Amino acid sequence: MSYKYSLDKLNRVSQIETAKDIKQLSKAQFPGTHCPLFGVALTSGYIKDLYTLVVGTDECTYYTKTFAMERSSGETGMEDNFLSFAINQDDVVFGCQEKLEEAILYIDKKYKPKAILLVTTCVLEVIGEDFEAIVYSIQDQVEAKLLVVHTEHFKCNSHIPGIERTLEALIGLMEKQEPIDGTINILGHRYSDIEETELMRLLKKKGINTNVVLPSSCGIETIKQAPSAQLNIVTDFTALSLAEKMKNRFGTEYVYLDKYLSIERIEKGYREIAESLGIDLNLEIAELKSEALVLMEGIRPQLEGKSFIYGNTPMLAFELSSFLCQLGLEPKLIQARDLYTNDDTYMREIVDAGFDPHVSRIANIAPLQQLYSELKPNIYIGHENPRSLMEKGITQVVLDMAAKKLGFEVPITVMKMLSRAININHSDQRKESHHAAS
Amino acid sequence: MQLHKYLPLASDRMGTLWALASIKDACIIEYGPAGTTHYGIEGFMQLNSELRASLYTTHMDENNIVMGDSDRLVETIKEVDAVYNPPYIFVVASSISSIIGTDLECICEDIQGEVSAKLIAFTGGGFRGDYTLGIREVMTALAKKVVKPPVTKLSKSFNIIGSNVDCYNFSADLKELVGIMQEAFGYSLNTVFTANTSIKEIEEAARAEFNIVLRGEGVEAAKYLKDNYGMEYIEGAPYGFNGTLNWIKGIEKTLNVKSNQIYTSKQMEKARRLIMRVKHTTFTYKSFNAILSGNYDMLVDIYPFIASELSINVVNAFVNHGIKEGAYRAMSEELSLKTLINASEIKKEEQLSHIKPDIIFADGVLLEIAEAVPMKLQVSNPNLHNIQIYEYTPYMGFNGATYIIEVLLNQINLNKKKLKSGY
Repeated sequence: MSYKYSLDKLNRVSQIETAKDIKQLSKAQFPGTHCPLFGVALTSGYIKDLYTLVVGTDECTYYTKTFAMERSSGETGMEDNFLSFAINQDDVVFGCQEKLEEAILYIDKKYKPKAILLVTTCVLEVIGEDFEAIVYSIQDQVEAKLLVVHTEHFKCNSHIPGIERTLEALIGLMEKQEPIDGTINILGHRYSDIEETELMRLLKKKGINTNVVLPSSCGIETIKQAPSAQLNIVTDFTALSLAEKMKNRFGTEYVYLDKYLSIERIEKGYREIAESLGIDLNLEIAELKSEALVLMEGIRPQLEGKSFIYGNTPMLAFELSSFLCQLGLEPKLIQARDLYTNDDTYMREIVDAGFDPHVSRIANIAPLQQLYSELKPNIYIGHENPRSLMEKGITQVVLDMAAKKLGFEVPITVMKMLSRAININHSDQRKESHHAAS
Repeated sequence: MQLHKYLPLASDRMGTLWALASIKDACIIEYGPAGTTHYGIEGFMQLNSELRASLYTTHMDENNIVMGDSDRLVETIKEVDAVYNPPYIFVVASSISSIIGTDLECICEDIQGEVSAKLIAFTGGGFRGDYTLGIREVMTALAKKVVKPPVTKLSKSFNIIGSNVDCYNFSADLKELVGIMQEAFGYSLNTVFTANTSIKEIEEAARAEFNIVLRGEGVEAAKYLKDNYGMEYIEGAPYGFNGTLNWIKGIEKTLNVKSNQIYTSKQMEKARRLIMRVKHTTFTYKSFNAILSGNYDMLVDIYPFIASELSINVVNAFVNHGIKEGAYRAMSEELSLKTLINASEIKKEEQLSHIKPDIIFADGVLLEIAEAVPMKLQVSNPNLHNIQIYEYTPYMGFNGATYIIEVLLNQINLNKKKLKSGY
C-alpha cells in the first residue's frame, strides 16, 4: 500500500456546490482548525463589563485563559474577564448543573459583572448539559444578565461559529430604542482603532455618529442602546446573523460592506450606506475609486502571469482570490474553511475569469507542502512556514494588516503589500544571482 | 469549587503531549476534535519550547461520536504510516474519545499487523489525573517500548530522566547538568527523557552507564531500565552550592567513582564568598519571608538552598500538582509542615495576604496574583509572559546558585525602601 497526496482528491472551484465538496488533502491534519471556543475568545474579550465563563476540560479552559491573558496584555480594548469552570470525571457522569449554578452565584457576587457569557465546550455538548435550563433556573437570583454560547467543534470546521454565536448572543442584551437619525452601528469589526478607517472617516465627515462598534468597542450599557442606531453596517460576515436578528426584532436595517477587495462591491456598499443615511458620498467615492483603479492598472503588469496559492487571510477566501484574478494572477489552489454568504458569486467570478483552481480545506499544511513542487506557485497568500516557502522560491504575502481597514483602502493596502513583497523578492533574487555569478 | 480566575491544573493529556512533543521524529496522532490540537501547538510557545515531533489530528464529527465510528482514526494511522514511515506512532486519546469509550489500545492492537510503525497508545483523555501522570506515563512507555537493548555500552555516559518542557528552566538547567557532569566526572550526556531529544536517542538510551532522575515522574522508567539493562540511577536535582556538592557525592557513591576535587573545591570557595555577601546584604532587614511554588521535586531540592544557605525564611511552599502516594521522595519534616499540595487560587491569595512575603520564587500565575510582592523570581510553570531564549541562566548547579544570588541581590537593591518599610 502506498499513499501519495494528490490534488485529484480535491474538487475544483467549478465543482463546489456545498461545504462538503471542500475536501481535505489528507486524513491526518496539521495543525487542524481552531474550534468555536477560540472564536469566542477572539470576540468576547472586547466587551466591557462582560465576564466569560468557559465550562470545559482543564485543557479547553487552560488554553482559552492563557490566550485571553496574552491577548489582553497586548491589545487595546481587550479585557481578560475570562473565568474557567474545569469539569471532572464526576461531572461527566452526573452532570454539573448544581455546581455551575453555585459558580454563577459566586461570580455574580464577587465580580459584579453586568453580564456573564456561559460558554459550553465539546464534552458538555456530548453529555447534554442543559445550559438554557441553568439560565432559566438561576437568572432571577443574579444581577448579571446570563447569555449562552455553544461551541462544540464536532459539528463544524472552524472557529467562525464561535464568533457568530457570541455576536448573536448579544441581542439578549439589547433593548428596544427610538432610532436616532444619522447614527450607525458597526457590526463584526474585531480590530482596534476603527475611527482611523476610511469608512469611519468618511461617515464622520458627513456628520454621522457611531453608536456602538460590536465587538471591538462596546460595553454592556452601549450594547443595550444598539437598536437606537438608524443603520447597522456589517463589516464582517460573522455579524450577518446578528444583523438579521436586529432587523427582525428592532427593525434596524443593515448594509453589508465586508472587507471587500472588489472595487465594484465596495462602491455598491458605499452607495447603499449613503442612500440609507441620506448623505452624499459621490465625490469621495469617485476619488477613492479612481485611486484604487489607477493602482490596479499600475500593478497589473507586475503581477500578470504569476500564480498563487491562497492560504488564509482575515478576508474572504473566494472574494480575495477573485480580485487577484482580476489583477492577472492565476490561482493554483484555494484553501477555504467553509462556504459563506455570496461565496457562490465569488467562485463564479473566478471561473468566469478563466480559472478553475483546486480547493482544499484550510489548516492542513503538511500534505500541501509536498505538492508545492507540482503546483509551482509564485506567491503564497497567508501564514505558512516562511523558511519552507523560501526554499521553494515562493513569495509569501501576509495580509493581516489589511483586515483593519474598511472601504477602498482594503484593496489599496493589499495591492501595495503585494507589490512590495514581489519587489523585495525580485531584488533578493537579483542579489542571489549576482553572488552566484561572482 | 472548580472555578478558576487564573488557570486550572493541566491534565494528564496535556502532560502526555508536552512530554512527547519535544521528541524529534516522534509521530503523534490525536483522536479528537482538531481545536484541542491547534490550541496545544500554540501552548508549546508558553513553555518556551518548540514542537519537535510531528503532531496530527484526525478531527472528529458527529458520526464518530454518535455511532462510535473509529474508521477515521484507523485510516489516519495507516495514512501517516505509509506517507511518513515513522518507527513509532503515539496514538493519543482526547476527552471526547475517552467519554464515548473508544478503546485506543484495542484499535492499535487490531491494526498493528497492517502498519510498519510500532503503535503506542496513550488512553488518558484528560480525566484521570493531572499533567504529572501524563509525563510519568510517557517516560515509562518510552523506557518499556522504545528503548532497545544496547549493542555496545557507551562508557562514561549518562541519561537524564525527567527534564521535560514543563520544567520552567529546562533548557539552561540541562546545559548546567551536562557541564557539571563533564567537569566533575568527565561524563557525557547520552540522551534526555524527554526535552530536546529524538526517537533514535531514546532507542539508544540503554547504551549509557546510568540515569539521573530529576523528578519522581521518571522513577518508574528508571527502575525499568535498571531491572532490564542494569542501569543504576540517582534521584534528585542539584540546587544550591551544598545541594550540588551533595548531589555530586551521591553520584560518587552510586557509581563508585571519584569527582574532580579541584573543580568542586573551587566552586565551594566561590560559594563561601557569595553566601557571605548575601548574608551581609540581608542582615539589615528584620524579616525576609518567602513563598515558593513549583513541582514537588523542585521544591524538595531547592528548599535547603533558599532556607539554609541563603537564610531566607520560607513560610509556605505550594506544590502545583497532585501527589501520587509513594511516587516521590520523602520531604523533610520542616518543609512538609510548610507545604500545601495543589492549593486553590483562593487559598494562595489568602496565604499571600496573610504572610505578605518579601520575595516569591514561583510560577507565572502566582507572580501575577502576588502583584504587590516586591521581589519575584519565576522558577516554575505555568508561564504567562516570560520568554526564555538564553541558555546560560540555570537555576540548578553551582552556576544556578550563583545566578539566583545575582538576581536576589539585584532585587534587594531595587527594593531597599520597600523592604525596610514593609509594603
